[in-house]
Amino acid sequence: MSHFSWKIACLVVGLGMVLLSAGEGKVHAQNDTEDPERVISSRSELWTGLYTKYRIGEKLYYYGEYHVRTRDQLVQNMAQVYLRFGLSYIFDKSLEVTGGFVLPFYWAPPEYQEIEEPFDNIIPQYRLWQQLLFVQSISRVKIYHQIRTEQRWRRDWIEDSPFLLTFRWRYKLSAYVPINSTSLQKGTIFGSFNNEVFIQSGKTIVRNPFEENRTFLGLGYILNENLQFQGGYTFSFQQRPSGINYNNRGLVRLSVYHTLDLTKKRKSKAQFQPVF
Amino acid sequence: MSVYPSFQDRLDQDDEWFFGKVLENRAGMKLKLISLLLILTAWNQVFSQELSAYKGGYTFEGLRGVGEFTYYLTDKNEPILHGDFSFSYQAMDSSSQQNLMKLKVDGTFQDYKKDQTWIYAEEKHRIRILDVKNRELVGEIESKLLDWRANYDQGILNGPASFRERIWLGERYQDIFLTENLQFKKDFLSGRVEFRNLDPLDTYQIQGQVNGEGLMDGVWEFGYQEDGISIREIRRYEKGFLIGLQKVNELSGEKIDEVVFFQAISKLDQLNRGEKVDFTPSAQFFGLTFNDGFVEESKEYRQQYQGTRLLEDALKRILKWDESRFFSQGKLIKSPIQTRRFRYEVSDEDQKIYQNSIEAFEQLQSYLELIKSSDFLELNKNSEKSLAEAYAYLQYLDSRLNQMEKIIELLRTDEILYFDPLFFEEVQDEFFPDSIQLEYQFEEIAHSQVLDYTESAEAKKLSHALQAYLNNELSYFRSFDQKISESQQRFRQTKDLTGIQRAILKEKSKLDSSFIKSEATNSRHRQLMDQVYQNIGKKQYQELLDEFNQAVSFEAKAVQGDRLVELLQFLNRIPDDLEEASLLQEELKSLFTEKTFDPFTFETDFEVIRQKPVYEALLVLTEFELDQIQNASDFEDVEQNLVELNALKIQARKLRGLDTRKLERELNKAGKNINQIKKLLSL
Repeated sequence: MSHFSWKIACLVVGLGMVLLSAGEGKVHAQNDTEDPERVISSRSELWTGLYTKYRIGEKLYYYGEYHVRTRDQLVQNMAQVYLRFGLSYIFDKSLEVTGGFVLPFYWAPPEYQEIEEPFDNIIPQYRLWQQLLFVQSISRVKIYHQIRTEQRWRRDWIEDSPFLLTFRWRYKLSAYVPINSTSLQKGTIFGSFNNEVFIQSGKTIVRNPFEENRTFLGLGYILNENLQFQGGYTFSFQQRPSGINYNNRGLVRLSVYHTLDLTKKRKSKAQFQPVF
Repeated sequence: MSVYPSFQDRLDQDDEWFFGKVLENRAGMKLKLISLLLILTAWNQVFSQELSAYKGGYTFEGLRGVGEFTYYLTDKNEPILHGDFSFSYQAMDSSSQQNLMKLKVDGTFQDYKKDQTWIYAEEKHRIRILDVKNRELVGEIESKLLDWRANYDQGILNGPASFRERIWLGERYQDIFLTENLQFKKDFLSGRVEFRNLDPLDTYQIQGQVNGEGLMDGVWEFGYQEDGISIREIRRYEKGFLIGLQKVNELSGEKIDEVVFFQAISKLDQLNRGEKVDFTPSAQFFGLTFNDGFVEESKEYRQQYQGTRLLEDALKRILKWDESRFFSQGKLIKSPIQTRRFRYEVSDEDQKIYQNSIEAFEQLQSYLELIKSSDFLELNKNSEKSLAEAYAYLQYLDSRLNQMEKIIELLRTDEILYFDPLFFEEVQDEFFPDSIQLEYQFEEIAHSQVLDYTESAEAKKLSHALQAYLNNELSYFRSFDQKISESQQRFRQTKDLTGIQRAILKEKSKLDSSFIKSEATNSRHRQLMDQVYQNIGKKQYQELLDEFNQAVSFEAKAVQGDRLVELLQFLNRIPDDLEEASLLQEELKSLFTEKTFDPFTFETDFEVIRQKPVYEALLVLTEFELDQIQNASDFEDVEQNLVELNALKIQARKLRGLDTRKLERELNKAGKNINQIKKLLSL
């Protein structure tokens, strides 16, 4: 990676840090006379993740995501360990179908330390997920439309809370723009943008069917056919179950993308054969 | 069922025959040998190199057959045969289709050196078809079997050996040549030696003793036929010095000839008495002929001839498969049976004169060869008197140099150190006459000219005689050569050089009109074209042109002229080759680039260079060759570089797609070492 691209990456991450620390921990009560109780809180998180796609068939891939997420001043408290597994079937260069399960572990937020009820510090969640990915090429830009559905069995941190089923509906629009090349090749630095809307439903979803919106801006670098890196900043706006509480989250994201082709056939060996 | 014994049968029979002879020697050594073998085997297991097995085409002793063996590679990828080795060959001669030859060899290599027992079994069959009756061939077969068993150590003969030659006679194979109890010690025979040739056309028997140093010693007996008489030749050797030779009629007992080597006996006595003399027994040992400065015509030399010839014949038979170490161009260069000579002091001044004489002699030889290679004198000897005279002189010089070659060879090989200086008195008249009369004809009139060599004829020593003679001869030669050159220039320059000059002009105008104006497909192509044009088309062309213009003799002018034409023709045909060379790196890139699918970005044409170290090594080599082309100052070098690039391209295509991981590791180690890369890529 060139010095130039490192500088850009550092600048993006640095700016994110500044923005985050500026609004960290603030809670604003809206002065709006029509809705005087609306409360918006802010916090920062650091999301590091490894994304893998390993080819195991002609068009079949094992898909895996492994994340560690921390929160409050980026790294003050542990937030999640998040594992997503699946199988992807790539029909062609413009359509991919994926399905699998997710196993995240959530750490209790710091405010739980102040409640009197007993609670579990780490709780699991169980999800099934399905995804359709449509890919478009417009000139040198790649546009991705990702539709994802999830069935989530969630529970509260309060001890003996039951797992309750809810549904989640996600749409993400992404774009990759090569900067130093006309296409996404080895050595390419690219700009990465995406916006994702999260809608949820289910018996327990009453006041916040709109769950979240995330906007990401970052840079990526393709090291070789097996490894890519992305870093950037995500602005997340969440509506809490009360319907009047909102979270503004600033997420610094550092991701590694790893791919392997496990279907490669063995080649015949070229051995040095002296001429006799 | 075949009436001939199979190969295995022969081996079994031979085992019995061979091992019977050496059984006694082995019994005592058995225990030691087994212990040694066990230690060696264990050692070998622990420290042995990584061996690869090979079975396939292999050239052994100049024959292309099938080899099966194991080998390891050195750091420089040189194969070193190690372990069991077997080779088989079978071929019918291509011209007459009548001669069938079969060879089977079994042995062991230790670091590419013959080791332990080697067994050679050769069959030669001469087949003559006389008729076909009821679809069955009627014919005759002459068959000969040769078997050689010998023990080797570090590639040299060491231990028992046997040789047997048989022909099919009547209903069975019969021995026609046999050796018994041969024992080699570091390539030299030792102990009792006996050869029996039972071939009715060339029957002989030889027996004698070789001492521990490989020197003929004691009585040697030769039995052979000469002019229909059975001769018994008895020689007496004293530690390699021949002191007497007697030939008698085997049947009548009549003495036919006798040579007593009085000088040798006297010198040995002097040495034995410890007298102060100007000779010593030689530290070096010699071949089969004992020589103390005998010329070929001397009795001492001639009387040794027949027996020595037969002994050499016997050695040639048994050493057939070690020929390269013992023979060169059919001559015995290293004899397993040796003689010794006396070494005489030669002064520094004489040594210097000998050295100068060798140089002067070779100079004369090369001048003569140069003139002989041109047919000018042969064609025009009758055109001018001076040419007729020069022709006669060169004929004389040719025969004179052939005669002198014998003496020069003595100087070259330092054999002169082993020649008694008194031999010069015997040969002075023959080799150094005081004058020569050249006789020749021109326009049907006989002419003659006397060449004076008084100085060499009157010299008291070989060195002085040689010096005087060669100086004289060089001076005569130069004078005749001058006359030839002058005539030659007059005769042929005008005729043949015109043709060459015309060809130069034609090719040059083609070059100027096309080469430099040729369209270049890329900047490297342009660069190559410009540089080659500058370095070869202008600079080398000008150099050759200057040499051509400055050349005086016709030969030199014609050589330079031909080279100029060759250069221009080469330049006129290479623009396409240079274009191909300039595109080679791109071609390699596309050859080694694979387009894959990136499952994250969905890029379908994700370009990946495969076998990167191989690709990069090929790039380094290509760049090296292109640089060589750009900087070459000789068109033949450019031609060679283009050949190398072509070979590189072929090899790149061969390697693409193969598993080259091992090669890649070696290439990584080789870095940018061009020679090493070339070797690794088999270029």
